[in-house]
Amino acid sequence: MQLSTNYIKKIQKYIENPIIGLSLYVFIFIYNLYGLIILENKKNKPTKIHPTARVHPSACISLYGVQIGKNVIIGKKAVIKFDTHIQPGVIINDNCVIGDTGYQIYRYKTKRLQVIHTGGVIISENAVIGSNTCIDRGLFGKFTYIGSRSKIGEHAHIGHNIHIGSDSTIEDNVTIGGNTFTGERVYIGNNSVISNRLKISSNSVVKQGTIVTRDILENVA
Amino acid sequence: MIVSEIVELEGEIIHDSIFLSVGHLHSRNKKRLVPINSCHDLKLAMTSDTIAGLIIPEEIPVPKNTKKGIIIASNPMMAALKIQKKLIQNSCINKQPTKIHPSVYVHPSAIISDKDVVIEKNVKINEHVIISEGSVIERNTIIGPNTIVGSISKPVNPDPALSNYNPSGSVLVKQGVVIHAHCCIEKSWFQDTTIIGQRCHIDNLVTINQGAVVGDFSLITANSQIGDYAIIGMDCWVGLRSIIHPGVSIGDSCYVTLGSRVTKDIAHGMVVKDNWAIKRERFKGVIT
Repeated sequence: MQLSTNYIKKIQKYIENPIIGLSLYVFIFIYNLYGLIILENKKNKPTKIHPTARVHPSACISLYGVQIGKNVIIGKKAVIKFDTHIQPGVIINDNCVIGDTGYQIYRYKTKRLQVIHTGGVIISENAVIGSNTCIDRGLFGKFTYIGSRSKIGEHAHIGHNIHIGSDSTIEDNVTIGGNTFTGERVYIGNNSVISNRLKISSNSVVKQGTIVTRDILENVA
Repeated sequence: MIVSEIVELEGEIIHDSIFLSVGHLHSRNKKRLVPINSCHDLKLAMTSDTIAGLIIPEEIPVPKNTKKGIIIASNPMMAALKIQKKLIQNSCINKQPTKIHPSVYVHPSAIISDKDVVIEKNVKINEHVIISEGSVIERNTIIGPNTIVGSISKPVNPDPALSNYNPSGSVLVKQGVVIHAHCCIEKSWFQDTTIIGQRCHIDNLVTINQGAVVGDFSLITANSQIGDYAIIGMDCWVGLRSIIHPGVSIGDSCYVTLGSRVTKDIAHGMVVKDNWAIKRERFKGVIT
């Protein structure tokens, strides 16, 4: 699904009506208070780290809701926030930030309100994540999912609610917006950008430096 | 002031001129001395009216028929910093110890400098954050993990003697700003401030270079780069992985789409689309 710019302008005019705009502002403000209660309930689960996992002492791992499987390697100065599930065999390199809040902001005139993120991150078996990447946690209780045996490069940004299929490779400096769905065995080259709310089918190749703004449905080289 | 009154430089002075401060090529102070490193920078410097003098390396030929002051030095960046150090000594600025409000949450792995930092109430500072000298952070801001506030900008000519000089710029983060992970906010070598306006939201992996000004309420998304001394107006949207060139100014409520490069000034309320990677006619049947 994709939104054209004309359609966005129609929505923005609809929101500029003060009755609808302010009532949405109040609704999201109340949802943020409700989300704080959800996050408090998640603090009942303590973290579980498997004894065979190798975690560098300078890494910061949250005390609540983190599950780390066996033979996981976590590099130095990595930050892992709560409610992330790391399955066995995963390698996480230095300076990664996994499970931080995403970028979802409601704006009405000069008001800016960040919507609370109540989801989490799942990294499945044998995935490799390069240094300095950021993976955001999901919105509205959903999970960002990274498939098994997939590789993510350095300095990459992966937004909230993203699904990346298994056996796919994502190179360095790639940015992917929120809510995109990529299939299995996808290749995404260096310096490329993928917009939000797109669907990229399996076996597709995105070459270096491209800017993807539309869906890729067939097997395209 | 006049150049020959202040310092004994190693280089020679060809024209002499009156100047008030030392600054960067794209900064906005009037009557400033500017160090120059390439022929392309010299063409830009000759056109602007606010520059009073130039410091030129030996390799570049000397321009003719100008009223601007010209100094020849082996390393122009070092000569500019040498002049600036004399100017600061005359004005006598004392550095004060840091002030941190007791309601501030600081993670134990964060590093905050001892001198010249002010942090106001209800600020949250996360893991591995580095905050260096000359930075002011106002109330209700959140700074995400692994960011650096006030990092030293890239040296133009790397030189071991550069370690004798400290960058004298500063960083001002206003109230209600949210900065996510892995951001980098630079401070300049000269006496300029990089400003981030109130209630801005800055996403992961953003670099804001020296002397840039981000207006109030504007939103900057992931992996985008903002050049030296660029100005972004109020209520703007800067898309994913967009590049803004140094010295460019963008008006209020503009909309820069993803992957675009901004090379010229932009008026108020414009939409920038510069998707240079795809030829759409070629992929017409393939990309729906």
